[in-house]
Amino acid sequence: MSVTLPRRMHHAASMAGVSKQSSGIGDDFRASVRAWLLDNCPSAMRDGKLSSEYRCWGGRRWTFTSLAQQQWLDIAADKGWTVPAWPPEYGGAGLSLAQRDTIADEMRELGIRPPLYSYGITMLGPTLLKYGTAGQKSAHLPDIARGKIRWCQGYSEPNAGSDLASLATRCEDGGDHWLINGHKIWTSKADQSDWLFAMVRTAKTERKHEGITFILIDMSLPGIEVRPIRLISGQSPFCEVFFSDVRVPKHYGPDNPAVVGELGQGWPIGMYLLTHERSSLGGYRLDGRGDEEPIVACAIREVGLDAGARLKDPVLRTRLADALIDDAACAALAEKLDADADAGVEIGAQSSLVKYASSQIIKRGYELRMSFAGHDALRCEADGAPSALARNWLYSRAYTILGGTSEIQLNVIAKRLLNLPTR
Amino acid sequence: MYTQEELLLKEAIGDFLKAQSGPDAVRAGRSLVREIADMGFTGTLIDERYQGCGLGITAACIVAEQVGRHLTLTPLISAALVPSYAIARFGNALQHERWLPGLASGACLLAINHGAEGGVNASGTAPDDLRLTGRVEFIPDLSRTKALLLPTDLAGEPLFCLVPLNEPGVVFECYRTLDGREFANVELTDVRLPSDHIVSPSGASAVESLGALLYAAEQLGSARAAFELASEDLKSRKQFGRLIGSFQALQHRAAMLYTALATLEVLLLKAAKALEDGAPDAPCLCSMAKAKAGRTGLEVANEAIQFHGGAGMTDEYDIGLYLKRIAVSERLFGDSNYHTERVAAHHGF
Repeated sequence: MSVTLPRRMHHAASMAGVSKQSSGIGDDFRASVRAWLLDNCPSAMRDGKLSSEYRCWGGRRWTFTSLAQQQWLDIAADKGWTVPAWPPEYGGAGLSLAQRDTIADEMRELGIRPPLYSYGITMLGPTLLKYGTAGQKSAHLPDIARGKIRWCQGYSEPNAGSDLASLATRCEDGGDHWLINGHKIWTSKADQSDWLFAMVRTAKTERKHEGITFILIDMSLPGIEVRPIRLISGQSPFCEVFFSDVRVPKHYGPDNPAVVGELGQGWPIGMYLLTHERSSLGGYRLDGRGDEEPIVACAIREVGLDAGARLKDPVLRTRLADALIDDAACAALAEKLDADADAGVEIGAQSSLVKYASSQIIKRGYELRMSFAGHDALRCEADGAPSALARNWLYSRAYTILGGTSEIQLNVIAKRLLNLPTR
Repeated sequence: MYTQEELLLKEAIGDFLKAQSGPDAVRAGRSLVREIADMGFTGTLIDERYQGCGLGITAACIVAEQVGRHLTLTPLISAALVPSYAIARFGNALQHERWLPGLASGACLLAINHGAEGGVNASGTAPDDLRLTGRVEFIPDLSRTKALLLPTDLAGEPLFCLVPLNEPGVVFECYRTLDGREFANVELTDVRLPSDHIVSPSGASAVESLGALLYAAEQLGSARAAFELASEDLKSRKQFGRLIGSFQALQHRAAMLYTALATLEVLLLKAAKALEDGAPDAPCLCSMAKAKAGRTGLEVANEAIQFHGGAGMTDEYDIGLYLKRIAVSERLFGDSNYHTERVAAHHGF
């Protein structure tokens, strides 16, 4: 090791022309994104209504709230911008994750509603891109990109939550079909979905991670019953799904089997999907899900400023500033992991860092909003429903449970990133 | 995240400081001054024209992180990196010629602590007849320097004054802190400044930001090292017939600390890049980095002692040295509370 490196380094650096590092995304790209959005997004979709009730989820059961919502989905899908980072042959635009984030930033800046939300985009898509056959990709991905099919996730069971590998939903070989019996729970939006991706048990093995298979199930098949679950917030975003002798065809078409990957080899596939779910859950911020009044504006409106332009309550002022610091750090980590993924670095267990940190921070945001609002937020509506803020605060308890609890993320960090011993 | 060159720099300074400093050097009170200057690290932020290395703020953070990791007793950050940035950015051409080569070579270091307590009154008329009276405290490594770079103001206008320590009216008292570093309190009585000893006032906040950022990086380095010591303990010490690192109560706490360190590092790098680019949010990001580094650093060091159990309380073990180092850096260039306050102000509340 050379001990005079700093001086030499400079020469190496200037020869390689690396003294100024490029950020990767030019202002040119940002400007072109903005121009395209302004030219193409219907004005009714540029109304700044970004909260969850205005989202478009697509799928066969979807009723568009307006013609503009439908048009915007089609226009964005034609451009490949519902899934900007997917390859063009599957409905994407072949852009980087950083460019995808720039598009999302610009939409938010302009008050444009994202054209499409779906678990097909955030979870199944990346998994099929990695593990699917060519036939599976071309059968499923374009329909996800165009918002034609809505997917849900059949993972948890009543006795297999954090201990997911204990799942017991049976999948037996019926010759030309798979015969499925069992019970999934916490399936988000199952009552509004068309297809379900699931982990099921195809063999009873000594090691419970083996014998699990990743399978794609058309929910219009007979024998599937869906029951929504009512939460403390009054909402029912999760469902139970019951399977009674459901016959899933082994092949939906040529080169398009129902099973993804090999039989009994579904665990790593399901876990790969979870790392994507976790890094997409890493998008949660102190501001919420990016669709609410920014928290600083909320604090100023609810609490007020004194003559020195400081928040009138000094304790809340400190708590908010502290939270903004942790939020910025969490955002920086999410950006870094996106950049790594763009560069082809497998982020693996690091997604647990960002899932853990961002689920803590989004909860902290709603705690603060409740403190800002005082008792007003506790008052129910005339119909007995919680106020909008209370509903979001109550629901936000879920972020440290869904997608793998905080305790599971900490287990993953301890074992896989810190290599702490098991005994 | 880092360029290839930055990774090389990290390895080079890391190897050097590991060999030349560390817990034993701290216990022996052994400082690194000449050796570090000979390596060129004092010139990290100084242009090659003045015999520096011409590297950027991220590189300076890497250097500072390694100084913290190896608990190095050195005036490098306080008396070379921060003042060279101040003079290079805000001094005039004559001041560059006069001060930068000495800063790069280590022959003429300058002292500064932006968050220092005390107050100095400037009176008279700048630049020809400026007089300074007052007291500043907690200036790191003053005895290694030729002059004090003092942020003050004249009738509301911010100024940087270069106060030569041999000027009549300058008295200082040196002392050591818990972590073995050397500090001084300075008393100024009607000190008359030569006219070329005033640096253009526009740069006060950028210098404060850089100092805060570099000490945040230093704390990250110390906290990382403390965390690694604690991890070794978790992986090697047995109780109840099991390695203590197998207990979930400890695993989860270790995982939380690791998450805090990982998010601190990326925040710090983002702040470094913003300051390098002159981005408008750079002062806020640097304050965020310093506030988080202080809190995370102390939390990691305290937990690391707790993981060690009784042994962590003994002077024989190294872990306590990291707590002391982090606690002292917490007070340099504004503490966590001060920077949290800055964050609120930057956000308009």
